[in-house]
Amino acid sequence: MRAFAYHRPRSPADAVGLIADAPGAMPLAGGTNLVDLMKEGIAAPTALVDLGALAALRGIGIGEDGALVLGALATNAAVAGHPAVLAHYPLLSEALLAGATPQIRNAATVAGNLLQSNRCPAYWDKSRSCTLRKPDEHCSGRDGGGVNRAIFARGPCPVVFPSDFATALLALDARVRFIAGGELADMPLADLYRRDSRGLPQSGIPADGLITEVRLAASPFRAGQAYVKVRERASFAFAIASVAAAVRVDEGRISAVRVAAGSVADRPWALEQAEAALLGQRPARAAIEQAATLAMEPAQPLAQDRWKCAVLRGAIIKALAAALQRETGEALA
Amino acid sequence: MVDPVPSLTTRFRLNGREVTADIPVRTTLLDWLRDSAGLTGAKKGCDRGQCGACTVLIDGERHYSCLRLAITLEDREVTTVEGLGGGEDLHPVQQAFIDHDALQCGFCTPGQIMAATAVIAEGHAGDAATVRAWMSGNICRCAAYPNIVAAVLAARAAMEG
Repeated sequence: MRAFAYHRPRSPADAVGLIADAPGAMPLAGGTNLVDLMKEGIAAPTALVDLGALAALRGIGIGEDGALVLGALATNAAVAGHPAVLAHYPLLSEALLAGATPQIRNAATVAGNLLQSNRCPAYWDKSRSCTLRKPDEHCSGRDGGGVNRAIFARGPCPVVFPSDFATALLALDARVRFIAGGELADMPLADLYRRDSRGLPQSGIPADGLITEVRLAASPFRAGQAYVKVRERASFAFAIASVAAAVRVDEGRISAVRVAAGSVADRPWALEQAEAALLGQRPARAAIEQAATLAMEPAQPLAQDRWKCAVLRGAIIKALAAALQRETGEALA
Repeated sequence: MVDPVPSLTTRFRLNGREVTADIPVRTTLLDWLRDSAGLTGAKKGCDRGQCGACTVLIDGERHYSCLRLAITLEDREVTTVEGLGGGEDLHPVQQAFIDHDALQCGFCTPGQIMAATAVIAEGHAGDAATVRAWMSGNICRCAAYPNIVAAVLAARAAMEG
């Protein structure tokens, strides 16, 4: 690991100033991703701005407008176990508890989770060529078998974004607040995940910006929420594919529905075709299966990744069936 | 000529005692414990937050010490397996691991014991399935899992008296 200058600011404004003043500076929150990247020499910040003293960014609660507010530095464990989250957004808790391990969740933060790196083995191995690390290099991550490649909207870098939490937040229409250029700004979660002029993944937060909180407006959803994660072992593994589903049923018809998939694109992926197909339908297995088929139509996997489409289609059906059963309290017709 | 790695004076509590140490900025808590503090209970298995052998408590919560830069511990309280019992007096979790033969090679055991202590404190030791789920951040390559789960359940029962 390369040495670095170290700062421990006492206010968010000071943190933003320190990040902006030093080219190559990076914020340090839980460190569960960044410290590994530094050990591997993939990240080599000239300065670390340790956010550990910014207690004001660790809060979780209901804001004046009824929105759930998650401080950028609230830990994954704190969010997953918070009474307001369990009462109104159990999907978030289910997604967080499907990720990582208790030790990681005690350290990893809201904002760190949303800005985490990919887990492509080629990106993490400096002896392999990688288009994301060096845009002129061949992408060796595309070769051979693997579970980390996008099946939707694949760009020159085929990595997937692996966050379970972000997938659930997308289904719940979360917004992200951040400080940039001295101003407080706000964007939909989906806008965090962009591409640069070469088509490579790029954060929507400016390099000198700092996320302060994630907000979820009062939700139309009740018990009808479910998260399904398919992975190579039952815990402590990133997803092959995952699905966050939220449904509401009024008078026997689906009146609101959101479905998002994780680990299938370079961003959390909204399954809008499935949503459109289900709205107004009666809850039934045939309707879910039809919606899942429609959701897979835009998929364009590499030849060796076609199996992943079957995995995702199955996860969509499983998540929607679970969410509908929790909503209605009845087994699906 | 390589620039020397800058150090930072860091104050925290370690196993109940105040510590003031000059720590190079890039040193992890795990490396500092083992190489500078002489506390070799926390083990370096993967050094990448993937095995759990380095688990310690920070302010009572379990963490991977390999992922934590030691300079970030200012004002925190660190407990390692050396600080768990009182010398020859074993902590109930340590005693339960012996009673249930919850190890083979023993390399992962200090991390397992620290994680188990946290699992019990968190209230995640009610039944075997819950223990397995919440102990999943600690890998045992000898696969002593059935005995580890039995030890955690027995320690919980002993601690609840």
